[in-house]
Amino acid sequence: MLTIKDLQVTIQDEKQNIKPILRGVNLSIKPGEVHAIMGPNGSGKSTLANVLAGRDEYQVTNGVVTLNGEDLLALEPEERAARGLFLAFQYPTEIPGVNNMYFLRTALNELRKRNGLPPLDAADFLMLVKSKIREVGLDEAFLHRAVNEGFSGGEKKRNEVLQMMMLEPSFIILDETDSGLDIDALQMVGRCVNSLRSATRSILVVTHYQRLLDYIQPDVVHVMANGKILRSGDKTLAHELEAKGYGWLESEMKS
Amino acid sequence: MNELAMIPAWLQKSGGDKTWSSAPTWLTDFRRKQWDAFLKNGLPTRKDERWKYTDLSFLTNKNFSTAARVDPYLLRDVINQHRLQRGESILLVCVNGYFMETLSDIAKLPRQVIACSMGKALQHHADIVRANWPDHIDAQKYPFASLNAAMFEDGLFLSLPDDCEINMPVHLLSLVFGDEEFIAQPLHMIVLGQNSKLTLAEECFSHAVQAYMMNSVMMMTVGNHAKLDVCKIQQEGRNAVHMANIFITQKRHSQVSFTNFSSGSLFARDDLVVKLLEPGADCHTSGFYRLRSDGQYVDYHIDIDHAAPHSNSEMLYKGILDKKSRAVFNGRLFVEKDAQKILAYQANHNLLLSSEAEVYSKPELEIYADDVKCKHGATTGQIDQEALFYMRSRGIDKEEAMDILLRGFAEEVMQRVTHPGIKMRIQETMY
Repeated sequence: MLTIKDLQVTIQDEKQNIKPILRGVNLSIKPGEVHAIMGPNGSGKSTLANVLAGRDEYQVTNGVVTLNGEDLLALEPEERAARGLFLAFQYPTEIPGVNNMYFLRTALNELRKRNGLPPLDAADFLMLVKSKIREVGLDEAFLHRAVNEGFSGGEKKRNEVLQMMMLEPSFIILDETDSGLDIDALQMVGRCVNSLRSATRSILVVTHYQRLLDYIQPDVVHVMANGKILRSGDKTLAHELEAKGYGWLESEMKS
Repeated sequence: MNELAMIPAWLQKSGGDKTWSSAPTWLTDFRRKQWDAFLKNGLPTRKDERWKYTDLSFLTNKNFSTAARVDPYLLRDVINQHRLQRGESILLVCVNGYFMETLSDIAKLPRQVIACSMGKALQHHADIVRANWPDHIDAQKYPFASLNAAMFEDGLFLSLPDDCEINMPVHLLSLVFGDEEFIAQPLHMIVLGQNSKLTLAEECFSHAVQAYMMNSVMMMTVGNHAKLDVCKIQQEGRNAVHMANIFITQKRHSQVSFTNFSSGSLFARDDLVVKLLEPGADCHTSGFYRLRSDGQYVDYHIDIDHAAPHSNSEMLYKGILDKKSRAVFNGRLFVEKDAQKILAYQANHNLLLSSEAEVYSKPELEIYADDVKCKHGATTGQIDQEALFYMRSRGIDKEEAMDILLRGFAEEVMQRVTHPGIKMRIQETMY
């Protein structure tokens, strides 16, 4: 489904210095698989997630990324979304003045249009959104507010999950969706993601902690540090990391 | 003679000797005084703080003739196209500054309401006109109001007696029709008696592509406990000059909301002058400008004078500027010495879509009382790239996402318009 080959990415800071962030990432995710990427702060996890979604402040200096055989990096962010890619953001953006329900409906109907489907009529949309918002544990009042404006950290994350549930993407990236969540919210994220698991849908979970992986059982766990994937394994790798910390792997790699 | 030289010849020729055979002496005197004051002060220059960013060279480059009346028969189609959709409204029509009774829905107004031309009002309702006429217009501050006062020939007179509510919006369509380079100078007067209520949508519209000048004055008096809701929609012709001076006087516990939308004309200058004369007066002013073309200019000056204690006011102005356009916002709040317990708010926020667009934002406070709560702020920024990316990542294409963001930016002002027909008309013009 998704193949990343030798991906190298830099960013230009305020002083115009060019800083490498990803230094040759290789990753292959098959349909139906759930992969987790763990790693310390600054290892490049979020950069990878954002580059995949199409954020343009990064420069891709080398490498190839394909989604279902198509060159992903050549596509605009909205085209990537239309191909089924979805990133649940670590820090969802507030959009004052734009009604949350209107936003959801526009996004859903734009995706339907790109995929040759007729727009959902108002009544059907309302039914759908009301059932999904219940699943993510947000009050319906949040539909009538501006997108993420004044939402708490947890509410923003729930709103991300609501979008995911509404848009039903085929390739989902969760960028530290667990950070700042309480146990109830964590369980909700797990429940929602698991409800979407299928043989044709792949999921990439970016996280610091093993905790979320108790709810979303990964097929493969990768450890990332310093812009590279240091090691890949099954879910026991996550437990090992939790017990020994990241320092263990990093020192092992150096020796 | 030096000052005189600053006033273009066409303007000097056209003014000064305007009299109606039927005009009362007090008005003839007033007009003469305003004309003399206008001549004495000359046209404002950029040395004048209030006109610092204003380029008035079109006044000397052009030779505007006085706009003429138009045969109503020619206008039926364009006027019917301009009726507000969604919900009922009462249409009153002015063309080239002249009130057109035969094109207006006079019969739909409550019987006790007076709606007629200023000419007729001076004949039949001179007492009301005089009682609501200002003692004085400061020709130095509001030179184009002085010019208008000296030269106006017509306009709408609308008077609601005490306890009169008009339960649907009055739609004042101010149309400019013709292909000559003319100047139209209507003077409108609107009087609200005690406990009366009016929603007014003033729409300034033209298909004309030539340069013309609209120089209008609106005088409004809002009686005790009366409620006035005004929505102005400015979409003059694309080479037009739009000058407007709006004077509002508010009495005890009156409430006014004034929202100004501007997207038309090449040049627009609005001076909104509000006097909160008596305690409990409350005035919310807001505006939204959308400039799209090179050389387009909009200039909003708002003067709110808190002359009485326990009065509240608000200014919320926002704008989106593209290409090489320019906007000026100057909100001036004046709190007089004995006007205690004042609440006031002042804000101007701008979004620039091009690196060549310019905004000059100047919120001003002049406070002589000590028990006053006043907040103010101004910002100028660009489109939020984070929000744009967020929306695109959800499948909304760039153009649509931009459009949604711009609408979102305008929403704070837009939501002040509640009538669906008026709202729809504004949305048609703004996006």
